Amino acid sequence: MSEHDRRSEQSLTDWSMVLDAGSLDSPSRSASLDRLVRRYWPSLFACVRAGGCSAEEANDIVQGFVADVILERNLPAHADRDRGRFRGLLFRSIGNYVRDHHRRNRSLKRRPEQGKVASLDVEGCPTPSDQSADDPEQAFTRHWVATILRRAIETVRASFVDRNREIEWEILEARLVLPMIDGVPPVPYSNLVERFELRDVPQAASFLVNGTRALGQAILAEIGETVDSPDQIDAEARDLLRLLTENGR
Amino acid sequence: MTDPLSDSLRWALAIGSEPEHSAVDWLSAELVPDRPNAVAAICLADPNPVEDLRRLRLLKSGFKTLRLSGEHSTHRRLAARHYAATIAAGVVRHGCWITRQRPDRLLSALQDLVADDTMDDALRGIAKDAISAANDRLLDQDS
Repeated sequence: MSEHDRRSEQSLTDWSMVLDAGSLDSPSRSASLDRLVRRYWPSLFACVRAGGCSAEEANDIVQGFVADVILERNLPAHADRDRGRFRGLLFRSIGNYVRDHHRRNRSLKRRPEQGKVASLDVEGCPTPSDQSADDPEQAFTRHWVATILRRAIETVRASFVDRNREIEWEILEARLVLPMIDGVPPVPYSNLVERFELRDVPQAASFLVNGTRALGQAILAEIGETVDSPDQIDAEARDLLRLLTENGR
Repeated sequence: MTDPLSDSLRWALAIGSEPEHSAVDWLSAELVPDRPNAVAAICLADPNPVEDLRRLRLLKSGFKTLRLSGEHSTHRRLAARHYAATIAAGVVRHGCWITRQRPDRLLSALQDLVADDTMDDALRGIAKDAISAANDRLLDQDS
């Protein structure tokens, strides 16, 4: 994605994007719908997969959900700022859609075929062993938080590069971002001091602190775009944390 | 087992709740991980004097950088106060200035710290003790 695209993507808050996507006479509705679907697709897909569907079936279900519910029934128009987060509405809607989907499938299987009653088992559905350990809500939340995190990381990277602070970005990436995303060990401070010709380890550590703070603030700013007012950011972050950590994860 | 997604939310929340203090606390956690915050890192001595002095020098250098490169003026001011407190701890526990700055300028910074009632009492106390020690005898200084 180019810098221009990134900025234009970020120019809409989550809520204004949702409202615009639900407004039938908005000239930018199509673009907002496209952004909305791209932003929430990973969470929807993960949620359906966690419910026990194969990747192929989950893909079909999410495509159907986008066509039938988001576009045809214009789900964004039903989003109400006063009645909770859009992610909550989306999670409940995909849950209902998946249940309807399975009900329809079971109904089809009950129809006599060539004089025989078809089996009622869930033929073709994968066993839970190839799924993640998350339940659908946790899977949805994990992918939603990952989306927020990716966007925050990109914001911080672009901001540091714009201000000629590449070294601080690279230290943040080596010590925090890559370990967090890829699970690799942090690069030792001594290596970073040598690579960037810094004075000492404390200098590298203080650069990391600046980067870490910037990333934390960017995460809060991303969350802020999904709530109605800034005083709800803390509660939304705590709610996401609760959803991620409950059930002992 | 730590989870990167949960961790990222935890520290974002920590930054949001204590935006000013977290910079010095996070820096001290990077440099002296077994202390819970910057005040404890400065005020709680390591039983091994050599290790204690090494830690104070690390902290001093970190706060020195942060007082120049901190994102906001409040972070820089706080880093300057912790920088002075770390030097004070060197005086009180090791009888030396762990810096090449002139003693008169250091004493002035310590007096400012003692007078700053927004700072933690433990840091102000160590600065007060360092001023007394410096007035009582000539201290060695880093060359």
